[in-house]
Amino acid sequence: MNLCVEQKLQDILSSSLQDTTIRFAGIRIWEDEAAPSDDICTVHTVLEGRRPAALLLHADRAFLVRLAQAIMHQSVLSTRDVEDVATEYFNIVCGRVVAGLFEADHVSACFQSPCFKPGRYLPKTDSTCRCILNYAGGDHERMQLTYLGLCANEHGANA
Amino acid sequence: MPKKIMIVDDSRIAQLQLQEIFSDTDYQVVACCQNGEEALETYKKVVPDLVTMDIVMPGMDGLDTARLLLQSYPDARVLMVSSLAYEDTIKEAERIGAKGFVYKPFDHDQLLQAIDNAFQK
Repeated sequence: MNLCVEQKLQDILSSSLQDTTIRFAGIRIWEDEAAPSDDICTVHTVLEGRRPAALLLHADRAFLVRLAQAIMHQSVLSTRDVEDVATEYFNIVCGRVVAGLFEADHVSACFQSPCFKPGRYLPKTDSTCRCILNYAGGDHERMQLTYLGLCANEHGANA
Repeated sequence: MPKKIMIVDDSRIAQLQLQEIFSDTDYQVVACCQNGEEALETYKKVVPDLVTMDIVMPGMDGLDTARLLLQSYPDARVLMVSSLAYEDTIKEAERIGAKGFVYKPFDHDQLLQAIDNAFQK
């Protein structure tokens, strides 16, 4: 991936995540160098099309709980609530990423419904390119968005 | 009489958000479906006035579901409500005969305006 393409991809990922977080839940996040803690969850999907890729969000559980509280308008939530909100949130992020990629190079894509996993999950795959961005939404609210370009016939993220 | 709405979305959260928006309106949610196959079966039973249709769902996606639904029921009103909103999907939705396209995350006014517009088309 050359520098220009890499920067464009970073811009699309960054604006998709930040815009969605503020519009979906009214929560502002910012780029930050620190990675998430050990108490994290993963939401992930596969982008399908001419340029397949795995897209993963590793987020501190505390951030996902605050996200769910904002959406459900409740302070006490079930594990299922947190998982379902995280999945819908990431679904919207992915839609924005696909739209951004289409705007950049007119390549259509779609994606599978995102999956939620407790802990840190990374697909076992040889990626053609990798882009990792770190964000924070507050104390103990770190998250990491990862884009892994996949070979055309590879869909390892849901394995 | 309230107009009947059927929600098709695999996300429980999106279903809850839509139900909340409809709760203080003249629209009545008569069914919620989690996938395209369920939507096609349920439509026959409840014959809603409008269907809100997500695109990204397990199994049959929302565009294919809308296409099949409108082939069988040309008078059906389908409003796409999806995060997968870019030129290709929006044009495809128009081509199929959807009455509009609402991007996720939607807000209260934007959604109700799109539904009003859908009923006027």
